[in-house]
Amino acid sequence: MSDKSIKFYGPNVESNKKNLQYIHDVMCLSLGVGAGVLSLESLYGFLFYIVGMTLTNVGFIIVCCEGKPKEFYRNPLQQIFLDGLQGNIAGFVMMWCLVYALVK
Amino acid sequence: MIDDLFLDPQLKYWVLLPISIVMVIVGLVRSNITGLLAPDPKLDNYKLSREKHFLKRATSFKIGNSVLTTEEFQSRQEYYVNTLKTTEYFANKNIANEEAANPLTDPTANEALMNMAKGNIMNYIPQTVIMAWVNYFFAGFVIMKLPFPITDSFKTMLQAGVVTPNLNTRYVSSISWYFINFLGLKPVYSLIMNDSTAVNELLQAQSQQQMPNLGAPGGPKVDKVFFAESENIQILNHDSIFDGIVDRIVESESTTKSSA
Repeated sequence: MSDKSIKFYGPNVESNKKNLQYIHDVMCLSLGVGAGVLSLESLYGFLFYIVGMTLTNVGFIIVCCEGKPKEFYRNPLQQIFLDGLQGNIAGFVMMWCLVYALVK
Repeated sequence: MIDDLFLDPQLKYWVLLPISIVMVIVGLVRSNITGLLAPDPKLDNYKLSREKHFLKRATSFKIGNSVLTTEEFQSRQEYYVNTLKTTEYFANKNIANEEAANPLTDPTANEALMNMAKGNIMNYIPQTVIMAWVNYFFAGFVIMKLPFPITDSFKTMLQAGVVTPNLNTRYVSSISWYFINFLGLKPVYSLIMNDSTAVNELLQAQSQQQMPNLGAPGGPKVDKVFFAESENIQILNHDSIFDGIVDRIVESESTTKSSA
């Protein structure tokens, strides 16, 4: 089947999104805890987040999408990488601040 | 600038954690109360619900027509285009000469407004109350050091109530911890509630419905909606999944054979 003729079924698209969102939620909180425990400061913390999130996404694509994200997401690059990064940064910052304050 | 400050470790347990816990609990309670306050769905007049369902049928056809063959598609397309243009499924046949009712005098409209107001109040009151509580209870505390530097222009906001003019901006007061929580609790809610739709409702309760609510005050007129839908269906680009299905199956079979 060529790319153009793939039909998307709404509920499946939603469920894929939900699974991805769950992984992003868990990862942004745990990366926040990690950054706090390591007492990373300023730019290093954000780099840690970006690198950690990208590794997670790569892992997600390899393990969960079996290396073929095009079959599960309409726009894999944007949906998995960009949305995951910018949508969860607030959660990461919150956890980072909290654990940093607790550890210090 | 004062560079280092020794913060009492007790602040963590008696200020930082309580604020987070209270915010999480209030968010959960609020989402449950919103569910309870939601008005019971009222029974529609059968003609009205028939009208809505016909529109839904036409929309489903518009979305899912690729599973039909070309002949099936054409007969259905013709049917929908013609029927949507007649008044057959209208709840109120003489809709054209009906004046728009004044939404302030119409009792049903009043009820809808009331429900909307209830939803909005449930959104704003808890936030305001928590903010006032944090402001009143933990006023003037320097509770934490942020892990990242921010410019001095945030000083007035993040160090509100702290009377130390030369303090480094990285030391912030309790209200800024409230703000960080306010922005960052979404993943926590969605993990606890295990249902991202509820979370999205919680976070943006003012989002609009998908279907145009026919017959509601201020809603679009039914004839306009039906006419627009019929035009949409008329220009529909049919792309059947049965087109070239033999070729595709032969192709996929031959590739699996050759790769095996």
